[in-house]
Amino acid sequence: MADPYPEAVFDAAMARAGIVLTEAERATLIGVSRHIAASTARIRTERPVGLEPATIFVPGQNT
Amino acid sequence: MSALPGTIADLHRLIAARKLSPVDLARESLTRAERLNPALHAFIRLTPEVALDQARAAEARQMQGALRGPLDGIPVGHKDIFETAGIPTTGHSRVMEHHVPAKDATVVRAWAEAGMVTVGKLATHEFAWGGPSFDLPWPPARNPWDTTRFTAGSSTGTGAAVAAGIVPAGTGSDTGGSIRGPAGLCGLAGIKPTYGLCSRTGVLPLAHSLDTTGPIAWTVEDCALLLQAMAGHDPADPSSANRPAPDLLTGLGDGVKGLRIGVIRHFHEADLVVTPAVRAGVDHLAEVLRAEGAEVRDITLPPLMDWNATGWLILMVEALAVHEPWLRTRFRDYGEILRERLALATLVSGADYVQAQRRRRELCGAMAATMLDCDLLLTAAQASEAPPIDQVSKFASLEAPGLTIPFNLTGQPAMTVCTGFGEGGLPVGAQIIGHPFGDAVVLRAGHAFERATAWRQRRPALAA
Repeated sequence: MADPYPEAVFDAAMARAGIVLTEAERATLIGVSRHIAASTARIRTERPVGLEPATIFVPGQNT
Repeated sequence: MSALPGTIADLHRLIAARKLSPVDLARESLTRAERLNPALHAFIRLTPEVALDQARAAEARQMQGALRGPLDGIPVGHKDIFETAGIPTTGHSRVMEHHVPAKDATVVRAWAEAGMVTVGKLATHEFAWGGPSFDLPWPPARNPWDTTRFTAGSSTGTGAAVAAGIVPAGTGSDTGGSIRGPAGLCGLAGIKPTYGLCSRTGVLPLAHSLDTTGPIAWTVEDCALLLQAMAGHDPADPSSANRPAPDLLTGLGDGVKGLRIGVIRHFHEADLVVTPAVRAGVDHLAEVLRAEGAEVRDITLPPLMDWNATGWLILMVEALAVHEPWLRTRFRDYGEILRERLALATLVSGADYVQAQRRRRELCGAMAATMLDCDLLLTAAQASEAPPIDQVSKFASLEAPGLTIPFNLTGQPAMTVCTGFGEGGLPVGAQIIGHPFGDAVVLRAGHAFERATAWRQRRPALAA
């Protein structure tokens, strides 16, 4: 399992979103953040540099 | 004599033969709701005046021999993220507690135009993601098979109300499994249609690139009737597919002879080890379909954890984009579960989101390659029988992979059917997955399974 996000990174993310947590909430979420770290690592596979995301759309279709 | 619990197909036959009054049926549904809701909390709001007005109109058509079709006069509930004109639509949240829409959601309107009778608004996880929560304006719905148990979510009230026979059907939405989960734990049929088949206009969003709307009912046949009335292009919904609505009914009884079916066994036996009853249910489904003439074999896809990491990162970020303004101003108005999940979503960067969408394209490619040799896929719908409602982890979707979100990523149609019963007499379910816009084939297979088995004969004791 991945490490939790560093506290400074976590605090910066909450501040940017304007979210004020209690100390208990902050401690819980920092612990759980290891799951986010694991997920962001898992999706980074070796891939062609030009691979398009799934959200690319064709102009004129539904736009 | 009581008409409920009953299927839409059976109720329609009685209405068409003038042996059942739509007004009497609406009254019976409302009476059942008043009797059972204190234990189930399936409805957060009943709408008796609307229901009786609509039922009287249906009865007038019945008497004139002018019924609009198989849904005319049938009671229904709407998940409380589906907007209903003049009736509060809250997302089961304090944040929108007093929101009264001016218009119906497109699919609510479609069912009303088919003659359906709106009995009330159904409980949901907060904004279709946060639950089960005990700190919202309304309590969470309970499972009719055992009211100490979870319904799964997020279409919690729909699962509870249909399983209890209060209404024969209801609306659901499915972003990561919110139709198929409650259908599984409540012993029902529920289909997440192909992404883009059914409108989402007027439905409170969770994650735009994953959100779908669909029906939950007692049988696959009822789901087909309901989906037929929901499906179709809606220019107001950018995700709506501009193609003719499919015919989901003509071939429903054609069976599965010759269909090629792949079992994604590693999803539910290795990547996530499900309980023995759930596993036996998938095997049972495969064996019945094989006996009905399908060719069944195991297939392999990328690991379930890859689908979940990709799906949940996308879902979290898209949900954060929806709720970002309120997080700044009304953070404490959300329930604990949703506000903490949304707070975690702020950790996901823009680059993470794009990488997840790139991984999604790779996974869709792997799925498309597999589907070249398969008409349908099978796997479990949930990991276990319904757990106690007070023992569901706040971060369950991060702690263990789910079996449903892969098909939100690919946009394929995926349906849950009840495959039997496990520990404590609780139902278990499995998924049938098809090609994009192959919803009719999924329904055909589900109907073939239900026709060949007796699971639809058993109802919760509470529903008697």
